[in-house]
Amino acid sequence: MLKQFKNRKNLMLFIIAIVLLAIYLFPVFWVFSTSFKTLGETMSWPPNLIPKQLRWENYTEVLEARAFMHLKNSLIIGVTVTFLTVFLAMLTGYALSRIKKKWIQWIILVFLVGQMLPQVLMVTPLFMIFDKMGLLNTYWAVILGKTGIALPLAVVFLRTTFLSIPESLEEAAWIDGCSRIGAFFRVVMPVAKTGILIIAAITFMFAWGDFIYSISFLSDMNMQPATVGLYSFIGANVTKWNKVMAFTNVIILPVIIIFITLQDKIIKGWTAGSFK
Amino acid sequence: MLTKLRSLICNSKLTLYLFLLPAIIMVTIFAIYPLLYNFNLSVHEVTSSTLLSEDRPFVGLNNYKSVIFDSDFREILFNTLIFTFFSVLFQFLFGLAFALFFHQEFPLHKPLRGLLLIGWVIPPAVIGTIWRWLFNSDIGVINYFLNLLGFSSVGWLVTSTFAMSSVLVANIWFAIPFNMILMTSGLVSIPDSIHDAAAIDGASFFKKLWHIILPMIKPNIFATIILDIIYSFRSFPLIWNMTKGGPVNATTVLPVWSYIQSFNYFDFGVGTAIAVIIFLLLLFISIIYIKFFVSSEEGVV
Repeated sequence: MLKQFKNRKNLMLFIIAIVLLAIYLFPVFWVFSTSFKTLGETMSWPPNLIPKQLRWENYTEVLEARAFMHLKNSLIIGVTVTFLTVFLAMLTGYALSRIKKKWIQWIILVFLVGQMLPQVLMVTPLFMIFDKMGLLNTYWAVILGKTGIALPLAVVFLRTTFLSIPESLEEAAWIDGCSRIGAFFRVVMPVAKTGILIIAAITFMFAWGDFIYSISFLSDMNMQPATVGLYSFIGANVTKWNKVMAFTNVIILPVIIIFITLQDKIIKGWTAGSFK
Repeated sequence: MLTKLRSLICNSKLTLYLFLLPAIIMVTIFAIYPLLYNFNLSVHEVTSSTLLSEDRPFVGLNNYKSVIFDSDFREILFNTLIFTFFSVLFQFLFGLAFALFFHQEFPLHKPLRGLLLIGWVIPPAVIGTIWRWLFNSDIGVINYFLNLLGFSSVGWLVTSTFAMSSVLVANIWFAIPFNMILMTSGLVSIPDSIHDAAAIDGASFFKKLWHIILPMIKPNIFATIILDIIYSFRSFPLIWNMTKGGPVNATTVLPVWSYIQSFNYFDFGVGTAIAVIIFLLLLFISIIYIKFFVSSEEGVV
């Protein structure tokens, strides 16, 4: 690898890449930097790019006050939506990839339209539906609403994944006992593992970042996820940017870590054309 | 009886059809039904007192009339178009440029490209907050950099002239990685032999880009731009967390307006009417996309 840098062009490209990355990721760096400053330092002009001292108390104070509770809510919502969405999308995506009938196109069409629906459109009707179901101010309102809107993408994505698995692979497993279901869990799922993992990660990030449904269906602050928690936190602490950024950082860090861990797979699965 | 039931469950055809149901039921109840219900609400007078009762007077197209004849309507529609147009233009150009750059072979080009995607995994609501801080007019770091370059500070989010460009910058920043990845998936599908052939001919970079690369990834470009339009057109949390549509209406786009009508003024009839208008415009764009999607999958179904 070091040898590659001997090539002058390679070295130049590498340096340009680092510069581009530094510029692009500056906002994220600035979140980190601000989150460790004292209140006085955030207001000093010109601003220090790197904090003089790391004030960890920003984090402990924010977490103890509210952020921890909000993160717990985000986790509950994110994990449940992910399990529900991935499980249901696996079944339906598989069926859509194996049924060879003309009308299947129409069902796929419904899921494609579903992908485009704006949440702003659904929020009022869902509010009334959840009120009738007695689910307002429960996690279920956000979980069900979010699953409904996360499913279309997951179904279309997993259908493409299953299409790439030859049917001959599972036919062997049909012979013994309960054919389809057994074959599905023992043969198809292990092969589709990567695709399932990718869509799980994407669904989790999507649910973790929910804002409209949560702010509309959960009026009880103790149930709200971190995105809404941050929103009302700013309302009360608009000048305390060091704490606001500490709060911001604890929201974005989990998804950044998940993403960096799975980055190779996500990019590969994506560039393989699973998304159209 | 039991064996009959067993054979029924294990009948592979039937199982497949049963597998179809769960997601269809979920999407029908929590996406399709709300969509239709939203149409229904938009032709009724729905206020906070009638929202949760069944007794809502039918008003025909009155809600739509009050939307279209609202003195703010033209400005807000214009904002939406401006926001969408410039978002898509720059997201795409930067995304394409980044994709081309990181497609070159140099040490660590893949992991470095991966790091660029961090911007895309941050929730839009949080991105709004981050850029609100960056664009702070008194102590924001963007004004600091402007000062370093010899310009004076700008009241980014507090003046009508600059607020729109501020939310645009945040939205473009957010979507560049998404565009880059979709463009990369096009670039990797071009066989190396074509790159090599062009190199032997000594084709200059831009000639090669214009005459060879872009035509070959046309389907990817098309799909990416349509998705960009859809995402920008329905953007809400990012703007709401940055400016709440202000100052005055400077950054109010249709989704923000719909939300304000419903949840700030409790005029749900008007709010849902705006939502229907958003939906119809999106549907128009989506039909183009879906036509394309179906035709590119011919022979699969």
